[in-house]
Amino acid sequence: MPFDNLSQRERNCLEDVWQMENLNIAKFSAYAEQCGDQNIKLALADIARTKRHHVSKIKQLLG
Amino acid sequence: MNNLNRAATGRSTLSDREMLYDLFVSGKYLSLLYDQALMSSTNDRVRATIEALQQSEHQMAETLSTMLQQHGWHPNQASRQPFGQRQETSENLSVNRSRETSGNRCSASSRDKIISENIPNRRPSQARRTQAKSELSNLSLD
Repeated sequence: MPFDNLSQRERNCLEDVWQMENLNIAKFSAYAEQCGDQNIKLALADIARTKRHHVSKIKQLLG
Repeated sequence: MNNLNRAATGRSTLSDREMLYDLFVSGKYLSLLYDQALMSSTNDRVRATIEALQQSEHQMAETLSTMLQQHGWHPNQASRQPFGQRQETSENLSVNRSRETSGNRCSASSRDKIISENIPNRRPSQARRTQAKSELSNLSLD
């Protein structure tokens, strides 16, 4: 559920987090593909999935 | 040339270690951003959501840290030994250091002698001047 009453400061902070999370998703996904170690590969792909969930949560807050 | 190859293939040539460490450091920065968002939040529901996300972020950082440690790649691994082992190591270090330095030590008088031989016009040290004064006063008394 979006929050219309977010202050500009709160909104800016959440947007920073949102951008950084998106960048991290891109990194985790790319590194999961390129990684040689199978265990690391799986762990990174798993974390990337969790981060996508984070991004959707933040997006909900931002509206 | 390496950079040209990277640009041509469009793929990074980072090692597994570099990739893990990059993600670990990025996670630290993201955690700071979550902290900022948490501190600037005035709404309870927003704060609760950010706290939950931050906690999840900490778990991911722990996963990355564990993987780094398992491969012996964690930058702070040497300082994360058990306490007793660390103490023993530091004791050994201090003992070895004192052994090393004691062999190189020289007395104040021999140091003054070496300096005076190499620097003839150097002013004598305070200890030498005091000693000379006392010798002079003894001579005058005699």
